[in-house]
Amino acid sequence: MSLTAALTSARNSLSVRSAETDIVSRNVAGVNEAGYSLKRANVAADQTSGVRLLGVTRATDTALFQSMVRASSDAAARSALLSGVEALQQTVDPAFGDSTPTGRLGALVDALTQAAAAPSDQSLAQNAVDKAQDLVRTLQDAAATIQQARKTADADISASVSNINSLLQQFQALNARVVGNTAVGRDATADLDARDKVLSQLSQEIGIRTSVRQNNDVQIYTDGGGTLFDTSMREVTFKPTTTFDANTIGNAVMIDGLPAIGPDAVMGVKSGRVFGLAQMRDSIAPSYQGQLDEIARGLIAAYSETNAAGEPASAAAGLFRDGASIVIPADLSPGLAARLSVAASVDRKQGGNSFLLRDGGISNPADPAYKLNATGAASFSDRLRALSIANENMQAFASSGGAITAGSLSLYASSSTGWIEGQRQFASTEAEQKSAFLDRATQALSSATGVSLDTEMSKMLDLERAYQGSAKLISVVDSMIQSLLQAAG
Amino acid sequence: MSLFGSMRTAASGMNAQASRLATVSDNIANVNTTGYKQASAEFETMLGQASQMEYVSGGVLTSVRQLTSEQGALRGTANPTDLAISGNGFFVVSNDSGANFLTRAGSFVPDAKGNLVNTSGYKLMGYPLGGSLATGVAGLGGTTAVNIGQLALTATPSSAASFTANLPSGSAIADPALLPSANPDVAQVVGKSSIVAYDNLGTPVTLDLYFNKTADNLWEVAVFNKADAGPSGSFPYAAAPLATSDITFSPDNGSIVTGATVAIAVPNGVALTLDLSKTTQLAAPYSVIDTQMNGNAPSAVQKVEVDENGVLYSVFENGTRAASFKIPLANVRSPESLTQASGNVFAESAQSGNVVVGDAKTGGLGKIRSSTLEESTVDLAEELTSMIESQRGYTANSKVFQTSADLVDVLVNLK
Repeated sequence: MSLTAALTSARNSLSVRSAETDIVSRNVAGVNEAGYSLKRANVAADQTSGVRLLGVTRATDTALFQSMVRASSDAAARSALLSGVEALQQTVDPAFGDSTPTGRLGALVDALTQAAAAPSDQSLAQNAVDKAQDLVRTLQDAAATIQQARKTADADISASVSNINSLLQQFQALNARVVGNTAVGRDATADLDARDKVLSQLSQEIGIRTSVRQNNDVQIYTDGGGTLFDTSMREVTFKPTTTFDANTIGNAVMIDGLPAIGPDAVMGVKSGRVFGLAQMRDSIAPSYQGQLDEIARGLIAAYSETNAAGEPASAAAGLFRDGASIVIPADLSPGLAARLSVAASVDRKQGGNSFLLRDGGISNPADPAYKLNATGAASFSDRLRALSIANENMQAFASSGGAITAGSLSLYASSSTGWIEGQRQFASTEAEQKSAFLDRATQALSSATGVSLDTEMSKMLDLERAYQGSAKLISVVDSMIQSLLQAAG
Repeated sequence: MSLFGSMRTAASGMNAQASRLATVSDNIANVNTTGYKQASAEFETMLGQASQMEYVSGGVLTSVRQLTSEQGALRGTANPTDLAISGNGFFVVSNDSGANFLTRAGSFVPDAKGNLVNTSGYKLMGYPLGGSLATGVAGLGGTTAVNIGQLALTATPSSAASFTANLPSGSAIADPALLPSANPDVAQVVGKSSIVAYDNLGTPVTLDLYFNKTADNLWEVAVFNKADAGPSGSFPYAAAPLATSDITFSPDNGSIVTGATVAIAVPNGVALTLDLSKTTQLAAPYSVIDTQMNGNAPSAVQKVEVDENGVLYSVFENGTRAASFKIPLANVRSPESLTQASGNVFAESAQSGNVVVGDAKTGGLGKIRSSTLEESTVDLAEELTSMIESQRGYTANSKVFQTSADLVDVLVNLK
């Protein structure tokens, strides 16, 4: 080893240590930055040049990253679903007590019982009609809340889709940079971090799977198998629906030419915010809407009337009606809850006669056949008594969500409340679990790939010593040559 | 007359030391010259006619050697076209008039025409490869100047692709009328993916792949051009599928049995062979495991890279690389006998033997290191020591000369 070679080694060592110090300082700067991964210089001993910097690598853990991505998709789906279900659940929130459909139904039953106790008191009869009116309004409000929630979910899907597209665009640019830099051996670690960040943001919107090929080129697929990014981004499109009613079916999110989320999905996406929103819009809300429609149909049926002879064919809608029609719907009629009304003929406020509640003939005030109180006796309470327990009559209900299919109206209403309450609790527990899992996955990833300040500090001291050593070597070689020069002089 | 003989001997000694000092001064001057090989002065005795009775001093002969085959220390640089040889051999360079020389000074940079030239203006010579690696190297005659200016904007059409996925074994058998290959208005789809290929001009062509089960363990793949897709983004396509093919899977392990390759005629492109051989049919959902596609969109050369074998690759913006030139190494039997010329180059001489050209890392030739320069082999300490030695030698010789002259003086004054 000659003196010149010693100088060369020392000089190479200095430049490698400075490069390493640069990396340590980047690590220290990124210590609290989410998604920053630890960088390390690859240094190799070299026979001819002493030491060489081969490149920069970053700490990665593909398995942990993938599990973090999955957890974040799941958590986002659950939390989107939870906020939607919470909006629906407010319609039956016990905190609002009486203003829920079951509360209103109870109030109606109480009013009818009171009216039955004093059949001659018109104000009590009108009170029962008012309570019916309240119930109708509550159902209408709930139906409106549902459709509003669906509309919000639809708008959120639209926002989410445009976010997905912009994230994919960012990803495309970053991926091209990563591939280019990796191919030519430049430091791509900062772009890799940024790309991972975009991926984790994307995973919140939609469930994704990734695979890597040569030069760190990443492809993104949905968790259903559809292509989102392979060399270039695939278009994700969605046509938002502006008005929702019970019959509206929201549009599907199209990914790579196929419906991937929503009705008729092929290779359907299974997680992410969009999925949670679509589930809310297409499954939970319509089920709940169906239950409200069935409550409305149950009300029409329970409070319907027949002629005095009790002929089944003469059955007609009484206190509650589908709009203005006196026909009793035979089966689930979508949107009935919103159309439900109280017959004007029995409502004094609408110019009707509230005694019709006692006497019968609400559907057909002019037809004497429907008059049950033929004599017009003020003490006739048979009809009112029958009405006051009508909510307990057995009925059949169409299957919608998890509500019962046979039972009394009261039972059905409370099973619907129970169902939506159960949905909320389930969504809330799931959301908590998934978010806890996400926290753990993020923590595991960050402890595997993040920066530990202690290690960086000790690394910095090592580097300082190595730098000092190399610098010392240079000055020693210099003084050796100096002494030679003196000898020559 | 031995006194005069001593004076002549001392003079030859002084001459020899002056020569040595000249090599030292040259060496010290070139202590930082890339690829410089240190010179050293070797001495040999030249005896006078001595007898038993009398010693007749002779003299000293100097022969100067260039230690051409000594390896210099390698220093890393940031320029990928800074080349160094680790081991034996020389780069072949040429001057403007086309004469070839050998050198170890590899600080090449592109000139205005894109030729790689070193600090002394010599052009690096190599063999054009045109994308694929040729084996074996012709003689020195086949070399041309390595020009990295001509490597811009290249598009390569896709010719080979591979697609690895799992097809769900439990899928229902599709209705023949709704098979994607029939291009119906609404098709039944079990698995769909899209891959990007490049046509002759490097335009990206998105290919939609549809997989459908047609019988137990029998699947059909239909490939459509995405550009033909209907307004919905898929069916019905405006044109028939580019390719339709049947794949059979083994019922024993779900691996592919027949139909592992699909020939696709890419519009305005070359025939594309899609390799499905790793695709499986297992009881798992449709999922893509890996896709590969060669070819690239028109992209400019971002940089060039040289590997240990001397292959110069053009690296394109999109990460693909193409072998463009091969840089050979040359050697002679006696590198120390090469004639030195200005600019750190050596020329073949009668004593050196013929120039033999070969690939790096073969036939005793060294390997080429990119982003590296070979430093001068001069060691300052050694040169300074030599200088002191020469100085003392010269002084001693001059003392001998002076003493002899004094003796002659004494002799002259006898009279």
